[in-house]
Amino acid sequence: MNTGQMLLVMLAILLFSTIIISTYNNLFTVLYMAYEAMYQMQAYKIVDKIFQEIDAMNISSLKTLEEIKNEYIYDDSIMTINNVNYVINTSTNWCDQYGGAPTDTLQNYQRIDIIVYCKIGNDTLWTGTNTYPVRYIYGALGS
Amino acid sequence: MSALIDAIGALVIGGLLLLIMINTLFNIHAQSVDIEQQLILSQISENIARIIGGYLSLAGAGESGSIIDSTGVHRLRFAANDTTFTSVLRTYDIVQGDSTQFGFPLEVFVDGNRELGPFYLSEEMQITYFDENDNNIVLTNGLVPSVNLDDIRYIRLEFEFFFDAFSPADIPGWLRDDPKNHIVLWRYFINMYL
Repeated sequence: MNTGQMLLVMLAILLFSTIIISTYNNLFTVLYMAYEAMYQMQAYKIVDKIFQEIDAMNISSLKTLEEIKNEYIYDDSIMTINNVNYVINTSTNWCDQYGGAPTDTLQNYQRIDIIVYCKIGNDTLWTGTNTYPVRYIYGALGS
Repeated sequence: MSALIDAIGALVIGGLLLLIMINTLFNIHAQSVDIEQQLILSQISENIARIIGGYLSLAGAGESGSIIDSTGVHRLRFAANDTTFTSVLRTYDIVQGDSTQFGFPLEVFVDGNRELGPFYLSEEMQITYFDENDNNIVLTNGLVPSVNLDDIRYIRLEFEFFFDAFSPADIPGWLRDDPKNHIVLWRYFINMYL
């Protein structure tokens, strides 16, 4: 085998290696996306828990809307599930039936905005953002 | 003679390179299958969790008497009208069975007839019970004491679905273990708050 042939073989090995590396890299990306989807689904379950709890409090009249407004304010509360810390932030506001600014002072509707995030490796996975939080509107059921 | 040695050397080196390539391609294929399994597992397990959540949301529907009659860390049985609301009271039983060679079977029975499952879990399902003040109801011998059954207002359900990894165990891969999806969900029994 002369030098030219040897160089060609080495070039082939080099090209094959780059294909392998890029293929593995793509597979890594897909794998992380699969895992991140699982974490986000779990975050949605946390959000759902809070909504269910508020529904229960509201329906049973165990808490008034005023109490709900004052109590369901989470500020960087942490819930740990399967060794992942989910950070929960919520805000509550009086609103109209569409979630907008109230046009009266009756306080019949309330909106809760939730943002949950967790850090996975170097990534931060957001479920809801400041601009688009996960939102729920509930109304006074009367007595 | 020199040409023969060259040919043998080239054969050996070429053969090694081919082996490396084939081995690498097999590894990539195995990892791809594992990732696909992980994705499928996520979809299926999320669907199962959603369906079980649907069953749980029926608890106490149309029933004002005793709703939960027997329940423990691996089992929840409750009464509710059926999903068509025909005023027929049915008994729903969400049960995790004993360990089998495939894992822990999770099944849903309605009036004693299996309606969902078995789905195999990698670990035992854990159900935690809470009263309306968020107090954890303490189990006795793995069961909710009968005097506390009417106190139950919501549960925390924790389970983990899994697939057998396609990759042989001795191949160093990124998936440290079988593809799994660990799910924790909460279900408030809204009908019991009414």
